[in-house]
Amino acid sequence: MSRAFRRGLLAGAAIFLAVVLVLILSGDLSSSGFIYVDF
Amino acid sequence: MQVDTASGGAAGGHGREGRAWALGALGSFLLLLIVSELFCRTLLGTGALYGLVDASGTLTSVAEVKARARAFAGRQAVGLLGDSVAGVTALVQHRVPRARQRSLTAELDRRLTPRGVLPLSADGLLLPDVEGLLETLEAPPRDVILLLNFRMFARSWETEASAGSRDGLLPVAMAGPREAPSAAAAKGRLDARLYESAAGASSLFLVTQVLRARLFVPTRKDAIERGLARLLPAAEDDDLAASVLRLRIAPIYEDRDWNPASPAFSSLGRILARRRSAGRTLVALVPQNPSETAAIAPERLQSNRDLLKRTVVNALGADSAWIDLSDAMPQDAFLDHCHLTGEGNARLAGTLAAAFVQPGRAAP
Repeated sequence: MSRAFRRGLLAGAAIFLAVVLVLILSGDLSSSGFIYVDF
Repeated sequence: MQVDTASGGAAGGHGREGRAWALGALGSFLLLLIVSELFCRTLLGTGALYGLVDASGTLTSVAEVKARARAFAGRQAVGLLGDSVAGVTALVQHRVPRARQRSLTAELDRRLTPRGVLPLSADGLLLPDVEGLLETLEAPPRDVILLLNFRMFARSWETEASAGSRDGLLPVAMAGPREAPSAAAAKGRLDARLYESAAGASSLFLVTQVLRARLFVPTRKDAIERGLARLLPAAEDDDLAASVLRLRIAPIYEDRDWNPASPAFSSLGRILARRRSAGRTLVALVPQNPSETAAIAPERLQSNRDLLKRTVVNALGADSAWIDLSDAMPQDAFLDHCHLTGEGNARLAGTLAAAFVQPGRAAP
Protein backbone atom coordinates (compact mmCIF):
# COMPACT_ATOMS: atom_id res chain seq x y z
CA MET A 1 0.00 0.00 0.00
CA SER A 2 1.62 3.21 -1.16
CA ARG A 3 1.94 6.33 0.95
CA ALA A 4 -0.33 8.23 -1.46
CA PHE A 5 -3.05 5.58 -1.13
CA ARG A 6 -2.87 5.73 2.68
CA ARG A 7 -3.14 9.52 2.55
CA GLY A 8 -6.11 9.12 0.24
CA LEU A 9 -7.80 6.79 2.75
CA LEU A 10 -7.37 9.38 5.48
CA ALA A 11 -8.61 12.19 3.24
CA GLY A 12 -11.71 10.19 2.25
CA ALA A 13 -12.51 9.51 5.91
CA ALA A 14 -12.02 13.19 6.75
CA ILE A 15 -14.31 14.27 3.90
CA PHE A 16 -16.97 11.79 5.04
CA LEU A 17 -16.77 13.06 8.62
CA ALA A 18 -17.02 16.65 7.42
CA VAL A 19 -20.14 15.87 5.35
CA VAL A 20 -21.83 14.18 8.33
CA LEU A 21 -20.96 17.08 10.64
CA VAL A 22 -22.30 19.59 8.12
CA LEU A 23 -25.55 17.63 7.89
CA ILE A 24 -25.92 17.62 11.67
CA LEU A 25 -24.73 21.09 12.53
CA SER A 26 -25.37 23.39 9.63
CA GLY A 27 -28.28 25.45 8.49
CA ASP A 28 -31.62 26.45 9.79
CA LEU A 29 -33.85 23.53 10.71
CA SER A 30 -36.94 25.37 9.57
CA SER A 31 -35.59 25.22 6.02
CA SER A 32 -36.53 21.54 5.93
CA GLY A 33 -40.16 22.63 5.90
CA PHE A 34 -40.76 20.20 8.72
CA ILE A 35 -39.32 21.73 11.85
CA TYR A 36 -41.67 24.41 13.03
CA VAL A 37 -39.95 27.16 14.94
CA ASP A 38 -42.80 29.45 15.93
CA PHE A 39 -44.68 27.49 18.55
CA MET B 1 16.89 14.01 -24.33
CA GLN B 2 17.94 12.84 -20.93
CA VAL B 3 16.19 15.79 -19.26
CA ASP B 4 12.93 15.09 -21.14
CA THR B 5 12.90 11.45 -20.02
CA ALA B 6 13.47 12.41 -16.39
CA SER B 7 10.66 14.98 -16.35
CA GLY B 8 8.37 12.55 -18.13
CA GLY B 9 9.13 9.91 -15.52
CA ALA B 10 8.50 12.38 -12.70
CA ALA B 11 5.19 13.41 -14.26
CA GLY B 12 4.20 9.77 -14.62
CA GLY B 13 5.10 9.20 -10.97
CA HIS B 14 2.96 12.12 -9.86
CA GLY B 15 0.10 10.84 -11.99
CA ARG B 16 0.33 7.38 -10.41
CA GLU B 17 0.43 8.92 -6.90
CA GLY B 18 -2.55 11.11 -7.71
CA ARG B 19 -4.53 8.12 -8.90
CA ALA B 20 -3.58 6.13 -5.79
CA TRP B 21 -4.64 9.07 -3.57
CA ALA B 22 -7.98 9.43 -5.36
CA LEU B 23 -8.58 5.68 -5.21
CA GLY B 24 -7.84 5.64 -1.48
CA ALA B 25 -10.09 8.65 -0.81
CA LEU B 26 -12.97 7.29 -2.85
CA GLY B 27 -12.57 3.83 -1.32
CA SER B 28 -12.63 4.99 2.30
CA PHE B 29 -15.47 7.47 1.63
CA LEU B 30 -17.65 4.79 0.04
CA LEU B 31 -16.77 2.20 2.67
CA LEU B 32 -17.67 4.57 5.51
CA LEU B 33 -20.86 5.57 3.69
CA ILE B 34 -21.97 1.94 3.32
CA VAL B 35 -21.04 0.98 6.89
CA SER B 36 -22.76 4.08 8.32
CA GLU B 37 -25.85 3.50 6.20
CA LEU B 38 -26.12 -0.09 7.46
CA PHE B 39 -25.46 1.02 11.05
CA CYS B 40 -28.16 3.73 10.87
CA ARG B 41 -30.59 1.31 9.25
CA THR B 42 -30.07 -1.04 12.21
CA LEU B 43 -30.47 1.84 14.69
CA LEU B 44 -33.80 2.74 13.11
CA GLY B 45 -35.01 -0.81 12.51
CA THR B 46 -34.42 -1.96 16.08
CA GLY B 47 -35.63 1.28 17.64
CA ALA B 48 -32.26 1.68 19.36
CA LEU B 49 -32.01 5.25 18.05
CA TYR B 50 -34.88 6.38 20.26
CA GLY B 51 -33.34 4.70 23.27
CA LEU B 52 -30.28 6.88 22.71
CA VAL B 53 -31.93 10.09 21.52
CA ASP B 54 -34.97 11.80 22.99
CA ALA B 55 -37.07 12.84 20.02
CA SER B 56 -40.08 14.26 21.84
CA GLY B 57 -41.50 17.41 20.31
CA THR B 58 -39.76 17.05 16.98
CA LEU B 59 -40.60 15.28 13.76
CA THR B 60 -38.04 15.78 11.05
CA SER B 61 -39.76 14.14 8.05
CA VAL B 62 -42.54 11.80 7.03
CA ALA B 63 -39.92 9.09 6.58
CA GLU B 64 -38.91 9.54 10.22
CA VAL B 65 -42.53 9.41 11.40
CA LYS B 66 -42.88 6.02 9.69
CA ALA B 67 -39.54 4.76 11.02
CA ARG B 68 -40.40 5.89 14.54
CA ALA B 69 -43.80 4.16 14.46
CA ARG B 70 -42.16 0.93 13.27
CA ALA B 71 -39.51 1.18 16.00
CA PHE B 72 -42.12 1.43 18.77
CA ALA B 73 -44.61 -1.08 17.32
CA GLY B 74 -43.09 -4.08 19.10
CA ARG B 75 -44.06 -2.94 22.58
CA GLN B 76 -47.44 -1.53 21.54
CA ALA B 77 -46.53 1.92 22.78
CA VAL B 78 -49.34 4.42 23.25
CA GLY B 79 -49.29 7.05 20.51
CA LEU B 80 -49.02 10.57 21.92
CA LEU B 81 -50.33 13.15 19.47
CA GLY B 82 -50.23 16.86 20.11
CA ASP B 83 -48.17 20.00 19.80
CA SER B 84 -45.29 21.58 21.72
CA VAL B 85 -47.07 21.03 25.04
CA ALA B 86 -45.88 17.40 24.90
CA GLY B 87 -42.32 18.16 23.87
CA VAL B 88 -39.21 19.55 25.42
CA THR B 89 -38.64 22.77 23.46
CA ALA B 90 -40.24 25.20 25.91
CA LEU B 91 -38.40 23.59 28.85
CA VAL B 92 -35.10 23.89 26.99
CA GLN B 93 -35.80 27.48 25.99
CA HIS B 94 -36.59 28.35 29.61
CA ARG B 95 -33.40 26.53 30.66
CA VAL B 96 -35.16 24.11 32.98
CA PRO B 97 -32.58 21.71 34.50
CA ARG B 98 -32.82 18.10 33.21
CA ALA B 99 -35.42 19.32 30.72
CA ARG B 100 -35.47 16.11 28.70
CA GLN B 101 -36.48 14.03 31.71
CA ARG B 102 -39.22 16.49 32.63
CA SER B 103 -41.20 16.85 29.42
CA LEU B 104 -44.78 15.62 29.34
CA THR B 105 -43.70 12.85 26.95
CA ALA B 106 -40.98 11.63 29.34
CA GLU B 107 -43.27 11.82 32.39
CA LEU B 108 -46.07 9.97 30.59
CA ASP B 109 -43.64 7.40 29.20
CA ARG B 110 -42.55 6.49 32.75
CA ARG B 111 -46.15 6.22 33.94
CA LEU B 112 -47.22 3.98 31.06
CA THR B 113 -44.29 1.56 31.41
CA PRO B 114 -43.81 -1.13 30.07
CA ARG B 115 -45.71 -0.03 26.95
CA GLY B 116 -44.43 3.50 27.11
CA VAL B 117 -45.23 6.29 24.73
CA LEU B 118 -44.69 6.61 20.98
CA PRO B 119 -43.92 10.34 20.65
CA LEU B 120 -45.81 11.69 17.65
CA SER B 121 -46.15 15.26 18.85
CA ALA B 122 -44.29 18.18 17.36
CA ASP B 123 -43.98 21.90 17.92
CA GLY B 124 -46.71 23.87 16.20
CA LEU B 125 -48.64 20.78 15.07
CA LEU B 126 -52.23 21.54 14.05
CA LEU B 127 -55.14 19.12 13.72
CA PRO B 128 -54.85 18.70 9.91
CA ASP B 129 -51.18 17.79 10.52
CA VAL B 130 -52.26 15.17 13.05
CA GLU B 131 -54.77 13.79 10.56
CA GLY B 132 -52.13 13.64 7.82
CA LEU B 133 -49.65 12.07 10.21
CA LEU B 134 -52.06 9.26 11.09
CA GLU B 135 -52.72 8.70 7.38
CA THR B 136 -49.01 8.26 6.65
CA LEU B 137 -48.58 5.43 9.17
CA GLU B 138 -48.84 1.94 7.70
CA ALA B 139 -49.80 0.60 11.13
CA PRO B 140 -51.10 3.40 13.39
CA PRO B 141 -50.73 2.78 17.14
CA ARG B 142 -53.64 0.81 18.59
CA ASP B 143 -54.14 3.20 21.52
CA VAL B 144 -53.75 6.94 21.34
CA ILE B 145 -53.71 9.99 23.58
CA LEU B 146 -54.62 13.11 21.59
CA LEU B 147 -53.78 16.44 23.20
CA LEU B 148 -55.83 19.42 22.06
CA ASN B 149 -54.63 22.95 22.65
CA PHE B 150 -56.50 26.28 22.42
CA ARG B 151 -53.95 27.31 19.79
CA MET B 152 -55.31 24.70 17.35
CA PHE B 153 -58.69 26.47 17.18
CA ALA B 154 -57.39 30.01 16.69
CA ARG B 155 -58.68 32.17 13.84
CA SER B 156 -55.14 32.25 12.37
CA TRP B 157 -55.53 28.68 11.07
CA GLU B 158 -59.04 28.95 9.60
CA THR B 159 -58.13 29.28 5.93
CA GLU B 160 -57.26 26.15 3.94
CA ALA B 161 -53.81 27.57 3.19
CA SER B 162 -52.94 28.13 6.85
CA ALA B 163 -54.75 25.14 8.36
CA GLY B 164 -51.70 22.85 8.35
CA SER B 165 -48.17 23.67 9.44
CA ARG B 166 -46.28 21.16 7.29
CA ASP B 167 -46.90 20.44 3.61
CA GLY B 168 -45.56 16.92 4.11
CA LEU B 169 -48.47 16.10 6.42
CA LEU B 170 -51.30 17.47 4.30
CA PRO B 171 -54.26 15.10 4.80
CA VAL B 172 -56.00 13.51 1.83
CA ALA B 173 -59.22 15.44 2.55
CA MET B 174 -57.37 18.74 2.09
CA ALA B 175 -55.15 17.73 -0.80
CA GLY B 176 -57.39 19.17 -3.53
CA PRO B 177 -56.24 21.74 -6.07
CA ARG B 178 -54.58 24.69 -4.40
CA GLU B 179 -53.82 28.17 -5.55
CA ALA B 180 -50.73 28.53 -7.72
CA PRO B 181 -47.91 29.13 -5.22
CA SER B 182 -45.63 32.13 -5.36
CA ALA B 183 -42.09 31.56 -6.63
CA ALA B 184 -40.73 31.54 -3.06
CA ALA B 185 -43.40 29.08 -1.91
CA ALA B 186 -42.76 26.86 -4.92
CA LYS B 187 -39.04 26.81 -4.13
CA GLY B 188 -39.82 26.01 -0.50
CA ARG B 189 -41.99 23.09 -1.57
CA LEU B 190 -39.32 21.81 -3.92
CA ASP B 191 -36.71 22.04 -1.11
CA ALA B 192 -39.06 20.19 1.23
CA ARG B 193 -39.66 17.50 -1.39
CA LEU B 194 -35.93 17.02 -1.96
CA TYR B 195 -35.37 16.87 1.80
CA GLU B 196 -38.14 14.29 2.18
CA SER B 197 -36.73 12.22 -0.67
CA ALA B 198 -33.29 12.21 0.93
CA ALA B 199 -34.78 11.17 4.30
CA GLY B 200 -36.71 8.37 2.62
CA ALA B 201 -33.74 7.12 0.64
CA SER B 202 -30.98 7.25 3.25
CA SER B 203 -31.11 6.11 6.86
CA LEU B 204 -27.83 7.94 7.46
CA PHE B 205 -29.38 11.23 6.32
CA LEU B 206 -32.47 10.57 8.42
CA VAL B 207 -30.40 9.89 11.55
CA THR B 208 -28.29 13.03 11.03
CA GLN B 209 -31.50 15.05 10.91
CA VAL B 210 -32.79 13.47 14.13
CA LEU B 211 -29.47 14.38 15.77
CA ARG B 212 -29.73 17.87 14.31
CA ALA B 213 -33.16 18.32 15.90
CA ARG B 214 -31.85 16.81 19.13
CA LEU B 215 -29.23 19.51 19.33
CA PHE B 216 -32.10 21.95 19.15
CA VAL B 217 -30.80 24.71 17.02
CA PRO B 218 -33.96 25.97 15.37
CA THR B 219 -32.19 29.17 14.39
CA ARG B 220 -28.60 30.33 14.51
CA LYS B 221 -29.74 33.24 16.68
CA ASP B 222 -31.08 30.85 19.28
CA ALA B 223 -27.87 28.80 19.24
CA ILE B 224 -25.81 31.92 19.85
CA GLU B 225 -28.15 33.09 22.62
CA ARG B 226 -27.98 29.72 24.36
CA GLY B 227 -24.20 29.72 24.06
CA LEU B 228 -23.98 33.20 25.52
CA ALA B 229 -26.42 32.32 28.28
CA ARG B 230 -23.93 29.76 29.59
CA LEU B 231 -21.28 32.45 29.87
CA LEU B 232 -23.31 35.46 30.96
CA PRO B 233 -25.65 35.92 33.92
CA ALA B 234 -29.34 35.51 33.07
CA ALA B 235 -30.84 38.67 31.72
CA GLU B 236 -34.41 39.82 32.20
CA ASP B 237 -36.60 39.43 29.13
CA ASP B 238 -36.68 42.72 27.35
CA ASP B 239 -39.86 44.59 26.57
CA LEU B 240 -39.57 43.93 22.84
CA ALA B 241 -39.45 40.14 23.30
CA ALA B 242 -42.42 40.30 25.66
CA SER B 243 -44.38 42.40 23.17
CA VAL B 244 -43.63 39.98 20.32
CA LEU B 245 -44.84 37.07 22.45
CA ARG B 246 -48.04 38.95 23.31
CA LEU B 247 -48.71 39.60 19.63
CA ARG B 248 -48.10 35.94 18.77
CA ILE B 249 -50.40 34.49 21.38
CA ALA B 250 -53.15 37.16 21.19
CA PRO B 251 -55.15 35.25 18.49
CA ILE B 252 -55.12 32.10 20.65
CA TYR B 253 -57.03 33.76 23.49
CA GLU B 254 -59.28 35.95 21.38
CA ASP B 255 -62.72 36.39 22.94
CA ARG B 256 -64.78 34.72 20.20
CA ASP B 257 -66.76 31.57 19.50
CA TRP B 258 -64.75 28.76 18.00
CA ASN B 259 -65.87 27.93 14.48
CA PRO B 260 -67.23 24.35 14.22
CA ALA B 261 -66.91 24.57 10.41
CA SER B 262 -63.18 25.41 10.58
CA PRO B 263 -60.56 23.04 9.14
CA ALA B 264 -59.49 22.23 12.71
CA PHE B 265 -62.92 20.92 13.72
CA SER B 266 -63.41 19.15 10.36
CA SER B 267 -60.05 17.46 10.80
CA LEU B 268 -60.81 16.53 14.39
CA GLY B 269 -64.05 14.90 13.25
CA ARG B 270 -62.23 12.80 10.66
CA ILE B 271 -59.46 11.84 13.11
CA LEU B 272 -62.00 10.67 15.67
CA ALA B 273 -64.05 8.82 13.04
CA ARG B 274 -60.91 6.84 12.17
CA ARG B 275 -60.26 6.18 15.84
CA ARG B 276 -63.81 4.98 16.56
CA SER B 277 -63.14 1.50 15.28
CA ALA B 278 -59.55 1.44 16.56
CA GLY B 279 -58.27 0.88 20.09
CA ARG B 280 -58.54 3.18 23.07
CA THR B 281 -58.51 6.91 22.44
CA LEU B 282 -58.15 9.50 25.17
CA VAL B 283 -58.73 13.07 24.04
CA ALA B 284 -57.59 15.80 26.42
CA LEU B 285 -57.89 19.57 26.28
CA VAL B 286 -54.59 20.62 27.86
CA PRO B 287 -54.24 23.21 30.65
CA GLN B 288 -54.11 26.90 29.77
CA ASN B 289 -52.59 29.63 31.86
CA PRO B 290 -55.49 31.26 33.76
CA SER B 291 -53.89 34.66 33.23
CA GLU B 292 -54.51 34.21 29.48
CA THR B 293 -57.99 32.67 29.56
CA ALA B 294 -59.10 35.53 31.86
CA ALA B 295 -59.28 37.64 28.69
CA ILE B 296 -62.17 35.46 27.41
CA ALA B 297 -65.71 35.99 28.70
CA PRO B 298 -66.47 33.06 31.08
CA GLU B 299 -69.68 32.03 29.26
CA ARG B 300 -67.85 32.09 25.88
CA LEU B 301 -64.99 30.06 27.34
CA GLN B 302 -67.47 27.50 28.64
CA SER B 303 -69.41 27.31 25.37
CA ASN B 304 -66.17 26.70 23.44
CA ARG B 305 -65.20 23.93 25.85
CA ASP B 306 -68.71 22.42 25.54
CA LEU B 307 -68.49 22.53 21.75
CA LEU B 308 -65.25 20.60 21.85
CA LYS B 309 -66.63 18.07 24.30
CA ARG B 310 -69.73 17.47 22.14
CA THR B 311 -67.56 17.04 19.06
CA VAL B 312 -65.39 14.42 20.75
CA VAL B 313 -68.16 12.52 22.53
CA ASN B 314 -70.43 12.46 19.44
CA ALA B 315 -67.59 11.23 17.22
CA LEU B 316 -66.13 8.61 19.53
CA GLY B 317 -69.40 7.32 20.98
CA ALA B 318 -69.86 5.56 24.28
CA ASP B 319 -66.25 4.42 24.46
CA SER B 320 -64.98 7.98 24.38
CA ALA B 321 -62.58 9.19 26.99
CA TRP B 322 -62.67 12.97 27.10
CA ILE B 323 -60.93 15.03 29.72
CA ASP B 324 -61.03 18.81 29.86
CA LEU B 325 -58.04 20.07 31.82
CA SER B 326 -58.07 23.62 30.48
CA ASP B 327 -58.57 25.11 33.96
CA ALA B 328 -56.79 22.38 35.91
CA MET B 329 -53.51 24.16 36.67
CA PRO B 330 -52.64 27.29 38.65
CA GLN B 331 -50.66 30.11 37.11
CA ASP B 332 -47.38 29.06 38.73
CA ALA B 333 -47.49 25.68 36.92
CA PHE B 334 -46.80 27.43 33.60
CA LEU B 335 -43.67 28.62 31.87
CA ASP B 336 -45.75 30.80 29.54
CA HIS B 337 -49.28 30.76 28.09
CA CYS B 338 -49.64 26.97 27.77
CA HIS B 339 -46.29 25.21 28.35
CA LEU B 340 -45.95 23.69 31.80
CA THR B 341 -43.03 23.58 34.21
CA GLY B 342 -41.43 20.23 35.03
CA GLU B 343 -43.69 19.88 38.08
CA GLY B 344 -46.71 20.84 35.97
CA ASN B 345 -45.83 18.19 33.39
CA ALA B 346 -45.52 15.56 36.13
CA ARG B 347 -48.99 16.42 37.46
CA LEU B 348 -50.53 16.46 33.99
CA ALA B 349 -48.89 13.13 33.11
CA GLY B 350 -50.31 11.58 36.30
CA THR B 351 -53.82 12.76 35.43
CA LEU B 352 -53.57 11.60 31.82
CA ALA B 353 -52.15 8.21 32.74
CA ALA B 354 -54.93 7.63 35.29
CA ALA B 355 -57.58 8.67 32.77
CA PHE B 356 -56.04 6.46 30.10
CA VAL B 357 -55.71 3.37 32.26
CA GLN B 358 -59.14 3.78 33.84
CA PRO B 359 -61.21 5.74 31.33
CA GLY B 360 -64.29 5.57 33.52
CA ARG B 361 -62.55 7.83 36.00
CA ALA B 362 -61.84 10.55 33.48
CA ALA B 363 -63.32 13.86 34.45
CA PRO B 364 -66.27 14.80 32.23
